[in-house]
Amino acid sequence: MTSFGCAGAIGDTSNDGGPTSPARPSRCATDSAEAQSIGPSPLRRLTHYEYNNTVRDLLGDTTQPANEFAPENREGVLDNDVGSLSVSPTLFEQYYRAADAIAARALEGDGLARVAGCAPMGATEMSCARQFIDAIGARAYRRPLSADEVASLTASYTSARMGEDPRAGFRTVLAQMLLSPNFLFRVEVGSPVAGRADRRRLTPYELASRLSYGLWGTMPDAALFEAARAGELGTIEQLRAQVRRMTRVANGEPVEKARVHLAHVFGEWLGLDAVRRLTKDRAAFPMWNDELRDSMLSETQRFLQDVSWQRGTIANLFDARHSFVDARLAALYGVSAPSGSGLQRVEFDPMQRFGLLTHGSLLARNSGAGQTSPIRRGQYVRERILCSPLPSPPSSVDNTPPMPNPMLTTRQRFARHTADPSCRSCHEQIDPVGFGFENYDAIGRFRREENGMAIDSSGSLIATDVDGTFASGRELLGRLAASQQARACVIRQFFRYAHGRYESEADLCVIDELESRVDASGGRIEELFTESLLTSDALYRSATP
Amino acid sequence: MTKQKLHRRDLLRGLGGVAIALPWLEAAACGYDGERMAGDGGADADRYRLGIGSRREPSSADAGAPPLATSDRPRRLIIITTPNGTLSDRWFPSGGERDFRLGPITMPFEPHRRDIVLLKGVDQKYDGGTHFEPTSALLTCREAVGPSEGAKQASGVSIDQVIAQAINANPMIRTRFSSFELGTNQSTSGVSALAYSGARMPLPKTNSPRALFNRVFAASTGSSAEQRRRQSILDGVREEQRRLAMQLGGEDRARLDAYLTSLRETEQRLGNTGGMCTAPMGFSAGTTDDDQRRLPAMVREMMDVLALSLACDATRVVTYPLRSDGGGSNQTFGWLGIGPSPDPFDADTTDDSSSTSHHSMSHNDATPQNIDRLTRVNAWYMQQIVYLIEKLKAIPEGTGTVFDNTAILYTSPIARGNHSKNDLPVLIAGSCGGRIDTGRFLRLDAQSHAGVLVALANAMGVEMTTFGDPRFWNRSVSLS
Repeated sequence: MTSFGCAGAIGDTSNDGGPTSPARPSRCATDSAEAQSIGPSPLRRLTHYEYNNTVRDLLGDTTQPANEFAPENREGVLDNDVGSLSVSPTLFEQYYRAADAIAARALEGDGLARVAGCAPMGATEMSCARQFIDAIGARAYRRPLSADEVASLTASYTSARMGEDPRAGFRTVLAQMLLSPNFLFRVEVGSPVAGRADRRRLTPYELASRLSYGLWGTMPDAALFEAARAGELGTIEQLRAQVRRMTRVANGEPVEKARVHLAHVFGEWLGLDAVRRLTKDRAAFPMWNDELRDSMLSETQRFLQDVSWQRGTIANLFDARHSFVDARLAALYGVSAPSGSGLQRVEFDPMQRFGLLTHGSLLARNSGAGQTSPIRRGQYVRERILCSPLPSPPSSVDNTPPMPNPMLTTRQRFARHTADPSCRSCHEQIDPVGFGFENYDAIGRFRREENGMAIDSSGSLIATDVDGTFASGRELLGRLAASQQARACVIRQFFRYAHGRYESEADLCVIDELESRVDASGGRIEELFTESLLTSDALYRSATP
Repeated sequence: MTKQKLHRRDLLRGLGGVAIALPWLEAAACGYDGERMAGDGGADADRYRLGIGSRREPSSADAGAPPLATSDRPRRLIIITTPNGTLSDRWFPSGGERDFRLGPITMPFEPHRRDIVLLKGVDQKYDGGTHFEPTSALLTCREAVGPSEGAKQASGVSIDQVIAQAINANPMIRTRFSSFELGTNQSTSGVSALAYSGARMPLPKTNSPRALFNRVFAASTGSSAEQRRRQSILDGVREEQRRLAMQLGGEDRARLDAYLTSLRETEQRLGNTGGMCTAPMGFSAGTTDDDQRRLPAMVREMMDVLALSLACDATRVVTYPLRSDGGGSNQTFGWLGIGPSPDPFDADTTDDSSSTSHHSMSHNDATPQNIDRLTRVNAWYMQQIVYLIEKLKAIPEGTGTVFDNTAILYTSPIARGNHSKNDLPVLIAGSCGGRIDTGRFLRLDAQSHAGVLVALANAMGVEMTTFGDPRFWNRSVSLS
């Protein structure tokens, strides 16, 4: 009936050109330990975030050089989607300058002795250089160097050092390592698997990198390198043991690197970066300022951390009654100010607010500067919570928001979308969801009326697994919390982040497997985070032609 | 992950088998017959180097452009765009071919009327999207692909890069920078690039005049020890790339190819080949941030640095969207008296019909108030182009000026604020070394804009007969 295929749901292939979320497969072998098929394993360049972390852990450089790099082209929603990770001449030049500067910094003063682990003087110089190349090279490339590589780097050292001092030689070699494709890309060559032409077995070092980048967003630590060297990274069980070590400390606290990285993954999924840049119409919202905005962001991050590491589940993201507020947020939410400074745990009135989707951060993010945006809020839910985005509007459409009108509510002003037949098929899936949030204004405050008229937050869900009308925003939130589609979508987001790409046909059974495991745990976030790296495809990469 | 068919025409080769490769494209799927895409040598690379390969499909679009012939005069192409369309009835002239009368928006060009060509009736045939897609399609003439609005990217190389690589492929005329991508902001969502080195490979922009100045004029070659170190590093990683490429297949090798290409570019840029540029005494470019309130200063400084760079032949291909298309910015024009408050640089954070931000006004361009404002805004943008023309006319070159050997293309990804794509504003300033017959107003009939781009590529000395997706092409245009 329409040319836009607005029947979005997981399993629908109507989105042309975009990543389709394919339907559940009819037959996945449940008894085999080996994955039926392996999805694509593209060569992945380090993201800027990974580059900063890796340089920090390799050399102790905390200057975050990648913050100066040309911003990544964001093809997908997540920062590590392989589609975004190309090398352009400008970026290469930046890599070059950064490598040179990082190497210089690392070796200045007593850095040379510290990094090299030896003193390159006179007779010991070449052996020290050789030791440096072996040791730092193995960490920089995240695997032992081949004899050819050592010879080549040694030659670089020798030629750079001629007419200069040893420091110049080390600096050149180190800069070369930092610019090498073996450093900038996560190389996975693997080895052939007998009887399986579609896959290759990852080497222990390649598996070490999969775990470290998957859980920490950085290079492997000494324990992982040692496990790889000792041949103790070859089975899923061995991987699992490492994963446990990498996520929980003995006393049960989360490992700091895992905590930080998981926060990053959430930030990518939910688009929290946009909250940092929010501006609002001060005339309409005198309460709004940068401090409030920063508090909102902190609240959401604190909440996510709490749910993730305190045995919280995916459902808890949407149905939790608690959050964390400071005095500013307490004023925004209309709850009593906490004692003391900083964020304190608070229980919301569930009639007014519960779950992530009612956080000020997301409500304000998905609003205009001076008015709410049901379209943005509806589209956000469809895209990020339900994984069924809708196509762009046709080019002839005028999509300026309608002018504020003191005689009408926002809902009434947007009514044309569903009244006009050419707009309806898509907008009936977006707008009602957005209207469900009309009880929250453009900075997230709860309101019962707008322009003196009572807010009507009723609506309906279409083309979801929890379809039907709802009488209020509260009911909508409850539906989303119970939605299996939403749960599956969250799982997909983590799958995508673990693999650095959108899912493909070949991944469907693995995704099925991941869903089963997460379900078995009751939907726990921590389980999702760790199991996404331990599915039956974890030991393999796809074999390319 | 969607896979695209790679066509021979999408690959450009220059001397030594340099390939501008396209990641995510399965080389094996599209008739390359095991042709290696990485590294030097190989029989096929030889065929391309000798220009034989590019003649296999003589009438295909984007045929691998052979290296540009050496000539005694450099030609330059500068492509400048403005966002959010324009007011057609105030932009286009009236009158006949030679005795046209400029409209209120293009009136700043009047002193240069003999050097310009205005075209009416030019359409973007790709009808996708609102701002991001038309931007990505403007110089690529291909549809945008991607998972969602704001994250879409062009599915092919842009014409400025085709021209730049043709220049780059001839060591006699290759410039230190194969092209400049300039801008005044990075769009906060998606990518607002005009220039693409390949499918889904938008080129990042240099946003601040000072950054451009440093890249072109700062003593970047360094001491001889630094040069040696640099060469050693680049040689070392080139060898590593070669070794790694042998272990990888298909798509992965293509990704590594982009690394190699970038390496070669960087080698060139860092001064190991080609001459240095020195800035005149006392010249400095101070603007660094892309603060939208400082737009006038930023644009002027950028034009100043650009003019100097062209004078020392740092590059011959430039793309410069004066502002990214779309509603992301709250761009107001306080210096023109257009803004939400008496503060001349107050940004407008409302987003409805009363807003004075450029995007909002362009969506409400029927009110008398906004017609007046948009006329002044767009005329201001035209004045910036005139400023560049005057700078280039002041730089002697041969028996004429730098401007004589330049073509500046002004256009816009969309025609009007409502995202319509028919009847784009198109103005060409400069004869590109006598190849374009200027001083005219041409009325065309639903002309695909790719035709105009091909005509400009031809004027730059690059042979091609079509460009981009055949669905978006109807006929060629003659500008001479």
